[in-house]
Amino acid sequence: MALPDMLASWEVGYVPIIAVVSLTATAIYATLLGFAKAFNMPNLERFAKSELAQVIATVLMTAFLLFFVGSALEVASSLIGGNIYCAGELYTFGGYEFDPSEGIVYENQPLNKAFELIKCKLRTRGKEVGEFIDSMFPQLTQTSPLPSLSGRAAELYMIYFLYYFSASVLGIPIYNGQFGLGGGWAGAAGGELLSVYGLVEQSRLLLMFAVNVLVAINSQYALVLYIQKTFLAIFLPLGILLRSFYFTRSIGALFISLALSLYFVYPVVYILLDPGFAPSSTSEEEPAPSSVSSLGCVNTMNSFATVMSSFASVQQQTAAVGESEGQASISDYSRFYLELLIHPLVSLSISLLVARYVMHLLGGDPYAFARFAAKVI
Amino acid sequence: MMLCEQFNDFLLTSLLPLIATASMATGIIIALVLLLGRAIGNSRLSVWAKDEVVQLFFSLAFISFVPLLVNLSCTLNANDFRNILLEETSSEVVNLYDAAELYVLSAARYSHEALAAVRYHLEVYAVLSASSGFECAFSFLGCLFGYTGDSFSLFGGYGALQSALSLFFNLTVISLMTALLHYFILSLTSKAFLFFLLPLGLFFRSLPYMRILGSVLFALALSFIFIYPLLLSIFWIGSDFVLLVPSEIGEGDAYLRAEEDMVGRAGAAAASSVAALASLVPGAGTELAQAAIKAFYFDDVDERPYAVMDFAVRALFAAVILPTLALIGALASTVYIAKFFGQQVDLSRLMQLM
Repeated sequence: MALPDMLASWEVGYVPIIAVVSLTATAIYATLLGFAKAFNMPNLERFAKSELAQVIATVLMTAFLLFFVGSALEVASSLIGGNIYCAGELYTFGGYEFDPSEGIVYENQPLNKAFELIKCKLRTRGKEVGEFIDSMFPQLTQTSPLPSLSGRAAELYMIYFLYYFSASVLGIPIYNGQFGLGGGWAGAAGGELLSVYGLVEQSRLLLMFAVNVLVAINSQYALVLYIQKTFLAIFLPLGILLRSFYFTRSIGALFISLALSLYFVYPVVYILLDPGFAPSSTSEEEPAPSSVSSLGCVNTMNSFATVMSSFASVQQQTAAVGESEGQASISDYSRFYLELLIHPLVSLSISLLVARYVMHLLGGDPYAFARFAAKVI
Repeated sequence: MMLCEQFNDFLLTSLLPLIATASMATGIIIALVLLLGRAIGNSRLSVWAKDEVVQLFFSLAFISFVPLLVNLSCTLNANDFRNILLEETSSEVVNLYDAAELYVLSAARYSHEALAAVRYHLEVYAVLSASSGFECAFSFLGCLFGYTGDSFSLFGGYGALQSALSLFFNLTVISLMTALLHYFILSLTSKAFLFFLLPLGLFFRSLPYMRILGSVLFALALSFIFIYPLLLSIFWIGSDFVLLVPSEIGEGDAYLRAEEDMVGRAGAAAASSVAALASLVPGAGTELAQAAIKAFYFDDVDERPYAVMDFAVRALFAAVILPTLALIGALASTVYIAKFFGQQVDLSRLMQLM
């Protein structure tokens, strides 16, 4: 559902719901107030009065949120107005766009674009991780028959043959590949074999990491999709509805705070923290870029597959080359780890922090939710 | 759900008589204490009796509130909210309890499909990685001069995908078990809590010195009778956006083949594999063997290991994260409702368990 349609739904669908709920709650609490006054029950009278005040607060909150949604879009446009490339496509936030199918110029809705960009980045990274896993194990895609082994596979075959081959004459061993670990031409094979085992172990660790990254990426994708489709359309209006009643006030506050923080704060923070984000220029004197390709000349992180491959290859050569290049690849390793895991996690944590305080403001109890979120994340 | 039909009968035949009995018993005790207080001139007893009268009226008020709440849950149509919020047009009537049950069952079915897809791929890669070949040392003579040669695990690289998919297999098993657990919790709480814990809580709350226990039981019952199904029904409203099968995955049923179909196909695949491996073209059997195994498993479904990983994680989100959030919300509401009755309840250990 596009955001302009969402706002139209607010005017048509949500307001009558809130009006009916507010009238119902007012009737209930007014009855309680009358009962309390009749039987001279000060506690109940105080409770009824506070609940009537909450109903008024709910109505005012609805009016405020209608105004807030529109303002939030303008704030988001000003904060994240700019460009980011993803999978060869330029995502522009803010400004105006032309819809050729309808022949109209409409205002770019940055938050919808922001969610599409986040999903694009996650899909791209997930694809890179998959390609990296495939590239680590050539046997997965190799279908050539055994005798035509070539290159590294043929080398490995000879190494295994030399290491495990043994020959003897009249019971006297004359060659055993496993005797030569300390030196000699058979020892070289043994040493080579040990490095192969090292490479296999390294690949195993990299695969384990890659699978964990895949779980994280897919989880983020599912969460982002759910936030985009349901938080503004379902959780926000139902949160306001639930907040109108005493027993469901905490849940209503939870839904409202989650909707506001995860739908508005999370994508803005994600875009702002993205290293590939290029803010749009505000100066009228700066010339427009001459071609689309020049807009894409921004610093971006190395792709997952490139860096993991370089890490794996440099680790093999560390003993010969020295530690300087190994440390350079560790630096690359930490950078893509930052992009894949830390960056989204920081954005989510900031959003949940906002949610926690908004929930407290709206009368909810954030303790249980905060513990749940901490455990899950 | 049969709950709504059973509740009215239960209300008339069991709950109301129990409430009447408890109220009469409490009323008699209060009257005796008041008389005793007046008789011996003890003002504390009189004040206590008057407080208990007020509490008795409160309890009766809550008792009238509970059937109202249950009937509201049985008559509210979750589909109407769905039609308004998501601009859909559906005339089906789905009350809160039905919506909650639909969500957990849909999540369980979704997890089961994910489990089937992951298991299917896992089986293929297990077969491929376990396949091995033996090449005699003097291949032009076969193994006539002793059984010497080299053993090969030609498709051992598939072990990588096998170990990766094992993690996702565990995730989908957890998702399926959790969804079923939530279905059982929903069934248990909406019946046992409604027909046992709630009357027990009301009864204890009516009695003077059991009020704390009664308040806690009542708060717990109210949370799980109303709040927990309410949250699940809200997730049901948005379930179209969470129970999405990844577009690359084929129909889930294709992963669950009929047994007789498997036997016939296994025989045909085995025959073609043996023929391929026995081929006189050196090493050509390996390619044909792999192709034969893959053709057996993937002729009408696509090989999509990364899409099934995505499927598994989505199942985790739908079947574990959201229902657990509903459960924690219900427990947090218990604390909130208990505060209304003037009691502080510490459910932190239960929250940690969740």
